[in-house]
Amino acid sequence: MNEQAKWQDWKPEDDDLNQLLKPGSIQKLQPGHPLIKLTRGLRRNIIWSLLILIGYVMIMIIFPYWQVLLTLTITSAFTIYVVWGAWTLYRAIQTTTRNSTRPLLEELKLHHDEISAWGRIQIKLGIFVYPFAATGGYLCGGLARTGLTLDQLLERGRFVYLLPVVILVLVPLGYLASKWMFRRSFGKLLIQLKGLIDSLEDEQ
Amino acid sequence: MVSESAFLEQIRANQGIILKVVSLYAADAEEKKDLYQEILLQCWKGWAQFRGDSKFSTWLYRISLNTVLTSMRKKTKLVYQDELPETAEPVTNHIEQEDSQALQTAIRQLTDTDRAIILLHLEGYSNPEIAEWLGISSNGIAVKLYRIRQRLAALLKAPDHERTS
Repeated sequence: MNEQAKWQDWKPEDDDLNQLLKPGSIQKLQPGHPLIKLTRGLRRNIIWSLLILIGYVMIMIIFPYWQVLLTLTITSAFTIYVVWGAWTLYRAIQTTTRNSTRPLLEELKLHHDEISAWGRIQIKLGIFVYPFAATGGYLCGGLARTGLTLDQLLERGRFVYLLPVVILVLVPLGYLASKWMFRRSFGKLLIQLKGLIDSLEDEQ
Repeated sequence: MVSESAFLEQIRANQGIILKVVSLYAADAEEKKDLYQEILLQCWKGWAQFRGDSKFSTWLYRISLNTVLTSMRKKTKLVYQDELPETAEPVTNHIEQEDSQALQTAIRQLTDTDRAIILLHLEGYSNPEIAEWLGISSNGIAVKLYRIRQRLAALLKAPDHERTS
């Protein structure tokens, strides 16, 4: 008997799988696939971003100073851009996860590209949005805390000098935190996928 | 209307495919259960789109392998030898002498993609079919298979191969 016949002759059984094959069990299964987890993260991200956008609009109504309007308009524009990117990615992943019968190399590249795209969204958010968001937040915080007008607040030297410090501290912190979270969630998987892609492409 | 009972019936009839794929990739019992769930979910989601253009077993193999290889898995310990021992014997002899359990143990020590290739080969799929599945050239598969068989022969020849899983 050759190895193929022996292999095909092997009929394994496992109670754990049998348990899952009982009627009704399929409906209760909880997905743990990284792309499905990513879609959940994206959905949460989109909902939170939209709520934050509503918050920006309310702040702009409460503090209608041109400086606040400028920073929050720029922040809102970038947030909309990021939400659009997240939505596009969300739709793309939905299509990917509905069809798992592509050639393996194509499937691996799609997964790798889509997860990396999520990482790029985080970086864009960090680089472009955080400086404006930090400035807007700092101005609004100062206005709300002191009860002064913005002109009066800007006459306070300490308040003005502290602004670049706040930006310099918060922006890299936010950027590093989002990068850390991304690496923690998907770093190992990206390395695993890249390794598989390389090992398949080696023979091309 | 998607029928759960028809789906489960098909899966039950072909559950050996899921078991074989998972047995080659799961690092431990916990991961094995996770992979069963993940494969079943992916199959269930794709079941409505299964038109019967290919055999159900082929479809199930494809989904199982794609799911396992794109899931976040623990790293399995690879303990294969880089230097293959010199041998004058045909490499297939060693493979043919082994039972499926020993073969399974040896396969688990290959890389992820090599495991997929040898698994499909052992199931009787041709090189062009495997190439189409994996999205690489048929020549690439032939080269890979040659190297995999050499490695398996070396692993099966090693006296302690049963302890290295």
